[in-house]
Amino acid sequence: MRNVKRNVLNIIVICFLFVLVGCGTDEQGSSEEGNDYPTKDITLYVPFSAGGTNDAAARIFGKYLSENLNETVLIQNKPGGGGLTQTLNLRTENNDGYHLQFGAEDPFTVQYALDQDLEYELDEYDFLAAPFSTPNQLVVHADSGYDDVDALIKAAKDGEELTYAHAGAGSINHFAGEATFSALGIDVQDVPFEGGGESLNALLGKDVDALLTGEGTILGQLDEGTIKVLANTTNVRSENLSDVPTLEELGYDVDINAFFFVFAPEGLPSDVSSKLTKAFEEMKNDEEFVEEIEGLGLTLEDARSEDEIKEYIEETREVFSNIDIE
Amino acid sequence: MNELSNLMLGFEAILNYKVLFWCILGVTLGTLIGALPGMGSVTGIAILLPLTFELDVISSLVLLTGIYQGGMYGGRISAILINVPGDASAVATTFDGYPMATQGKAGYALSLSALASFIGGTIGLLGLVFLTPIVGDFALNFGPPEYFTLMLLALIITGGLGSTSMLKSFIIISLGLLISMIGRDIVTSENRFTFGLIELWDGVSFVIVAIGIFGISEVLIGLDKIEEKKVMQKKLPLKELFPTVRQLKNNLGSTLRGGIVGFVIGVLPGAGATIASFFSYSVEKNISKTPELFGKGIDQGLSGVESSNNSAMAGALVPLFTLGIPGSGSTAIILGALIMLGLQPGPSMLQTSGNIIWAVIAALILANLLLLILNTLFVPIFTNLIRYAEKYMISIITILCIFGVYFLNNSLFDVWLMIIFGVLGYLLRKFDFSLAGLLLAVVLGGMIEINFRQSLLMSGSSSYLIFIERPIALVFLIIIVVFILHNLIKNIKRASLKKRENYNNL
Repeated sequence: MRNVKRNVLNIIVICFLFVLVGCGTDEQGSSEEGNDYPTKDITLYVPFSAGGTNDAAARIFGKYLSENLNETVLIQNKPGGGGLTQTLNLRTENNDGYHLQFGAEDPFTVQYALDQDLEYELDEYDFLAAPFSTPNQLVVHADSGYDDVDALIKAAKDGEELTYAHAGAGSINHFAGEATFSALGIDVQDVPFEGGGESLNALLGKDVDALLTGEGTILGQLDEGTIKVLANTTNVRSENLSDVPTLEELGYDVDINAFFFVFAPEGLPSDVSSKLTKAFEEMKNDEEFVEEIEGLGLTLEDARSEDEIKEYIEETREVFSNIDIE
Repeated sequence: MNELSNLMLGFEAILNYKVLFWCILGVTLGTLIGALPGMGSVTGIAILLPLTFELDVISSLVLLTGIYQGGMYGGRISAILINVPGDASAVATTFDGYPMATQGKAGYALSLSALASFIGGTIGLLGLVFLTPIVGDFALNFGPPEYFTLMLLALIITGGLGSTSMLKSFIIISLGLLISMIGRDIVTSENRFTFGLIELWDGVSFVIVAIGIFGISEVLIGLDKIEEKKVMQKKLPLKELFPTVRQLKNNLGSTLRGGIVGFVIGVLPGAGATIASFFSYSVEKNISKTPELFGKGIDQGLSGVESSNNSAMAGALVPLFTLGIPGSGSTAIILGALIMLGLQPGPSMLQTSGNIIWAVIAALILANLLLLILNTLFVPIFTNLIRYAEKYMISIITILCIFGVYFLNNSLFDVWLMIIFGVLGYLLRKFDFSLAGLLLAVVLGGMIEINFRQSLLMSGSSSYLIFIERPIALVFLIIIVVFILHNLIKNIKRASLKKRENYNNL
């Protein structure tokens, strides 16, 4: 009899837990605050897992934002779907300035080019800032004998079967690679890897001839003489790699950058958003902040208005949609 | 010995009360977090990362590496006690660890595995200290063709684990491979078996499958049995909790082998502790004189596995320190922490930030020792805990599984997915399929596929020849062929022996 009772108890507890799971956590915060914002912890969602460049950038950003606003900024990693899952979920959060998101542009530009029936509209978000960008670099192994882009072109034209590594099909590096090689007029087979680190490993192990990657991936290799950076896919030279020419300088019409955005659900009170954008600008005057961000291989960007950010997204979508990554 | 003097400098940097405090805190938290299902060192480090912002560089690294290492020790606790692996690398620990616990030897299993973890960790750390300059570039010899053949070898030699029949092995491995294909194809970026759900784009996490089919199915099986299945364990005398000298001798070989296998595989960024533990398990089973006892609570199955995953943990730091490439999920987070602390990971890290790296290595050695002491102290506590908590066990397992999986990605979808896999695991158990085979196929399937396709993309017009042209890949292929032939011949011999017996009996 006792055994039966115990089992009934167990079943009840388990049912209760499952109900609990079903209820979810839809706690609603109040949004009557205005002028005295912020008065409580701010959650900064990061739609990528802990450990990557995205996460590191968010944590640095959050740390200095918290110092500036004098309020705790909690970083919450919600990875999944190339950043899209959390980007969709953000729409259901309160637009009170306590639920912000920080992340690479991918859910807005790359995902659109891959699948144009996305479930969100740009108007469902308030874009607050595009604080950093990270240039994509065309890299070869130091022993490869390719000293510049022309050497690479010559090898391909001579009939060599060239390959390049990138961080996965539909990654921004992949788009940058296809755009680069089609502008150079050569055929280079892409080999997708899972993330920047693995693709760098493939280049260092000489499994591929070239690599397209964000600058952060290769920073540690720069002084080693293990790799050679041939070109920058962005139209501005990078601070860390000031002697590397841009593709545009070399006469090729390629300009692919990768931005990070800070945004919130649509309808943020104007005093909250102006307070936040003011804080973002002030952070840029902090030398330590700038140093830490550049240490990740990111470039600090000038302030952009919401319209300018949306314009950038639309233009980039256009560019990416015309790149054939098949 | 340059390494030794560097190491001594490292110890000098960490041997003060402040750093010692963070080390003890790190290993304790790491063990406890690791003991929660699904919460491995990755989650532990991620949760506690913000804490390190307030600390100096050495203290924060000591704290993080303490958690990293503690997670490895902790993972085995729930694997042994409740058949739910604390993290992926503890899956193989359940194979013999849990059967030992059901035989009333939970305390013995915990202390034996703690000791094996310590020895494995020591082997790995010795490798890290003395072999780093030699094996530093070793990982670069491994490209997609090498990983493909290595993973194929792993699947073939471990594929039959725990299965009762060939047919069931095939069914369960095919099912596992199918599950591993869910998600966005990284070569073509097309969605496969995602049923329109964005949550499935990244595929099904191995940890969710493991917790579902082990943990939740355990709960369902428990609910099945209205009659109480076990008599409450009697209080055990303290000395039965710890292995005798003779038992230690019996486990020496498997522990040393596990340590070496673990280090070699851990050094490869594409493999890691999980693969190392599976490899070690199948090595022990294949060389054992009593392979039929594996899966039923044999010592060597446990000690080999625990030694190897702890050794792999140290091995995974080699490519991080020499190449700046993380060898596993948790080393990726350590890499992130290094960057945030202002270090530039890369080939020159040992030169430019050598003092910090050697302090970290010294801290790992200290943490390993502290963990042995801590986990030995934990043995009587956990054994008693399990004795008193037994009647509430299925509720506790359910709670732990739900929390563990939720915190993996802060996602409720994952919890539902785990419950679905729990039901699947329950059915598979009812029909006597091997859960280990399923997990193995899930973890290896994705890696086999992607490395195979990368190899072919790389090879251009020489296509399949790439697997023969590259010497390391060729060696693995030869081992695969020899292994299959060896087993075929063994089976034919056995069959003909049986025939002859039947003939003689006539």
